[in-house]
Amino acid sequence: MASTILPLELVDRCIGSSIWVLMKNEREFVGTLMGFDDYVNMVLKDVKEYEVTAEGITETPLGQTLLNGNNIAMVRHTSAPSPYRSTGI
Amino acid sequence: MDQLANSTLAEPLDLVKLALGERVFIKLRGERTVTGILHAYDAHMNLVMSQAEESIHIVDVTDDGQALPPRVEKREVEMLFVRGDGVIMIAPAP
Amino acid sequence: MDSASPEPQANAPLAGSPSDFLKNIVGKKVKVRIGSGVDYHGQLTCLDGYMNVALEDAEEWANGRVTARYGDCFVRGNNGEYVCVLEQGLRLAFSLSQSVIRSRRLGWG
Repeated sequence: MASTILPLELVDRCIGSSIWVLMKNEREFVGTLMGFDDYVNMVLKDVKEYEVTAEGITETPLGQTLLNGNNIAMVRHTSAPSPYRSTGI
Repeated sequence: MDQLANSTLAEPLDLVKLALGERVFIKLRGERTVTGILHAYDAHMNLVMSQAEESIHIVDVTDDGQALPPRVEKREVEMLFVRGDGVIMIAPAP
Repeated sequence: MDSASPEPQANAPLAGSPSDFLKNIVGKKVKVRIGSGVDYHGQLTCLDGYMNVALEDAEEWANGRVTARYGDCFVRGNNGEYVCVLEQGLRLAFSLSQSVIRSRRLGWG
């Protein structure tokens, strides 16, 4: 039991580093995590938004961003600048 | 409304308060818009409007999946209650 | 930059928590993306705990173009997917006067 890590503890350890956020819809975000709250609303900086459409993947750079936790499906710690470049999709 | 908004706006709901008695334009989920006179609102954004005109923006799709040009269906309602969870945006009517 | 009128937020540390972030971006040009992919660009007048926001000089963007303009507008919080600060280079419809004010704030003017 001593090594139990709560989910939000894991997110807390990502503060200051780059994370990859997958939303419930066809959107994904990569950025540096600055902070979050109990709802896992997140503040990110140097954000890139990826949108998966029928025509391909669009990439939009965003400044400092507050992401609504409501639609977040999964969060990954990532060192790759772009998940798509690294996976070759 | 503009100068009031600039000076005395402490929270977003104040913008809605300033619109009481005025003609407003609201966007709802499901590609619907309503214009009408705003009579009442609450924290859920439930609204009561009068002389309301609802516009439904419809894109028909043919049997082979081709989207036809969008069309708008309108209807007028004398008195209207709008449930707050459908509200996306409220602005003074243009 | 004019030292007599420093811009307090120019060198403020980056906000950590979401509520700090929201407090720090009041008055700035922001983009609010709602779930359906429509964006509202405008000056953030104020906001509350539900993430309801009031925008001034708002523009509605869909499919890469402006589809409507509103002097003031209220956006209900639950529909928001994200709020981000618009940077100068990204803002296509930036008026000249706003650019000048902003560049002075940043110390480029």
